[in-house]
Amino acid sequence: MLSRLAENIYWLARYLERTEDTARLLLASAQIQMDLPSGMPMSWHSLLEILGASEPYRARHGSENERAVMRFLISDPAYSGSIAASVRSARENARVTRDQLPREAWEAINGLHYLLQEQAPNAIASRWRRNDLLAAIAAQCQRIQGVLHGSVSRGPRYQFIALGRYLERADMTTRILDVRYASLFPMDGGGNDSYYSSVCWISVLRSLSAYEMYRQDLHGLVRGRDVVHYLLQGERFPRAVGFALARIRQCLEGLPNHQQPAARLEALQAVLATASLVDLSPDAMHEFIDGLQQGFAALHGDVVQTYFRFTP
Amino acid sequence: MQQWNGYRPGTGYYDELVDGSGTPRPGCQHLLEYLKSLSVQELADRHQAADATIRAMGITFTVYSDGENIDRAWPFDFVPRIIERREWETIQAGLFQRLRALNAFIDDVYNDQRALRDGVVPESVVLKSRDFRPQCQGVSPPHGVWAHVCGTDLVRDKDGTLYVLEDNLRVPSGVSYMLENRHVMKRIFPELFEHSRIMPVDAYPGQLLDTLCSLAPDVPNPEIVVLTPGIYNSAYFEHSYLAQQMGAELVEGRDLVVGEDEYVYMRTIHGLERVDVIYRRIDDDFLDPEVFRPDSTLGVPGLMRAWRKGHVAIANAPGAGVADDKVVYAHVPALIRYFLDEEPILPNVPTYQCVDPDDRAYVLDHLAELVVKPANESGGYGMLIGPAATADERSQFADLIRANPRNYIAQPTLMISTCPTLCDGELEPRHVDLRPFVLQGKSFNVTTGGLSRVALRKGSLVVNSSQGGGSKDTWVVDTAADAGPGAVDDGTVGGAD
Repeated sequence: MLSRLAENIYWLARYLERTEDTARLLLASAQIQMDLPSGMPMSWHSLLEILGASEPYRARHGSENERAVMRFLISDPAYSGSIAASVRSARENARVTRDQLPREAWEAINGLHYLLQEQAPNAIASRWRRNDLLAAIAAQCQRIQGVLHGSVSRGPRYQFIALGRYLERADMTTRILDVRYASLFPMDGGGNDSYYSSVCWISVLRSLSAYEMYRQDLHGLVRGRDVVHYLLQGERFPRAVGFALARIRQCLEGLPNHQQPAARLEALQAVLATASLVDLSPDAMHEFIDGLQQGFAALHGDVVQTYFRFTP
Repeated sequence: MQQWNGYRPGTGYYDELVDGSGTPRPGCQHLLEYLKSLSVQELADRHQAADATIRAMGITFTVYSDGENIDRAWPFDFVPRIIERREWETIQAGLFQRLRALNAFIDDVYNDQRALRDGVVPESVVLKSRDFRPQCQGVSPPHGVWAHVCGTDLVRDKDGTLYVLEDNLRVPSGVSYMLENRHVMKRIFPELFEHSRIMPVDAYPGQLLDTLCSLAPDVPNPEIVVLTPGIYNSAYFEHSYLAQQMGAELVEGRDLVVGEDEYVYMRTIHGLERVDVIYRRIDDDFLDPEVFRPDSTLGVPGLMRAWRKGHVAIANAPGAGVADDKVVYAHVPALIRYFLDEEPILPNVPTYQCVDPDDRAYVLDHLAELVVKPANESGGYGMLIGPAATADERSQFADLIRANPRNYIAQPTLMISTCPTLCDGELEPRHVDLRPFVLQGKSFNVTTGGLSRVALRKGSLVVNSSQGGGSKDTWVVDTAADAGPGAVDDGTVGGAD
């Protein structure tokens, strides 16, 4: 398989995952806003922070109000992290790899592009239309993932799709936890705070589609420390970091010359498995997650060096 | 039910399917009877079915317009152009003869230059041609062949004579549309293929692969690649289609690298893999920035070094375009006599060379009757069709010719033949040409028929898809086999796959 095509397919998968994850995150944030007591304003800032968009947003906008932030994150073509920009990048990568993928995949990716083009202009201002659009985007992404899962033969092509998907997913899960952990600390105190803390942790789970599964896997009040463990170290739920890393390991094993990225991954898995994450201070948690994210970036670098941009 | 009420060819033109009295030509009777049996509505339905099929199959070409690249559906007309097998066999022999002579000429230009010394073609014409590449001198590609794929444009004049209009030896395109047109026809008119002896066209990708393999250095399983400029090229559909049909890798310049050993490699997820034959679909100018345009990002630095050493074969070979020049074209009949000692089977269109003072004077005096073409453009760009041009356009062209006579040739305006074509629900005559694709490697092959292009605008002679042209399926029909039971059947004819 040509390195160039492998790289395009890898990025296609990353951008698709980023699109879906962003749509879910925005949708979940809109949900929780409705449950917050009136004295507790929704922080639009935290959304920007999770997505690493605070700086670019400040450069173009003043106040952080709901509509402007949503427009920025959903449909601003000039902001490279917006859903619109991710879809555009996914489509460009799909266009050059059309022959490599089932026809249905290209059609579904085109469908995503048209969905956004046709509906975004009128959907941002109205909350319910916007939520509809975000749900439709997530659903269309799932459809594409379904086609890729169901109709791409298991070889390097599929491994690069999965590699891109799980690396992006692990990154997004840690971003959400990083920001939410800081804002929800101190965790699980007493009184009303603990009640709202639980509501907020439920929203964290919802933004990762994890609430129902969490309920099945664990019982009792939703507590921060359990959520953290479930989403970082757990290996059962597909959006948990532990699960994603285990999948990445399988992908690498299916690819040639994987020594270097595989060694990096193993070290990362060891760090995650042995970490004690109970009652960490926000700073300590931030430092830990930062370490993980640097590990993801290094792993990405290894993949690029090994398969896409090696120097002969 | 309203019935479609017949077809009248234009006067003064040769029609490919009916003669002057409206009687079907040999091999066309069955088709015309069938079309007659369809109502206006049925014709429209089939037309729609053809369009839908083309969209569903994703057959497109790319046009650049309004600063954006757009994939357009391939314009297709479902009335086929029909050629009798006997005539086709003569054409085929003529095409082989022509390509054999052209390759002998190119090899001579870059080596002994005998033909130039003997004055068969004026030395200055060749050495000053934009497509003459001094960097290719002294190279002897396998089998002495430089142009492995040639798209030869044929047109028929009013008396029925088939002329060679031009030889496309650089990166001729269109063959994928020929193949896809047949698939579309089989889908929308399956009944026609039951009863006609229409010769199949599917052999081409396999023949192309054989031709390319025959160029490979001596290795057991040669790695063949198709080199494309990328998805924004107007012929990208074809590049990807042919690669797929041949089971070859479709690569861009940045996928390839020339090693210190001067072999060519492609970057794969397994590391570097050696490439033996490159079917390139980019122009010479962009092939190797070390040798040609230094700003080219489409090519591969060092490719020419690898090629000169015989480490990799390139089809068509760099420099092959020297014989694609329209001034050289005028000398092809002489080249056939000189190199092969044979009489040309297919005639050239009479050609005036503006570089010659007498010819130039004639051309400038008769601009209103002539077609003037630049010597080395393709795609129908930059030409003047005298009878259709305004006085202003003609005087502008006269200035161009005086300023750069070497760059222009002129030909009489041919009364190019027509073929029935569905226009607004009626069958009307539209002008057609024919581009067969001829292959030369260790042996010769040619497509069965070729790509028939049609000028969809009434009266227009320009068939290029970039300028409002469409295309048709081309049938080579075995009328001898049509004679009934007992007729000779050598196993190569018959309708289905």
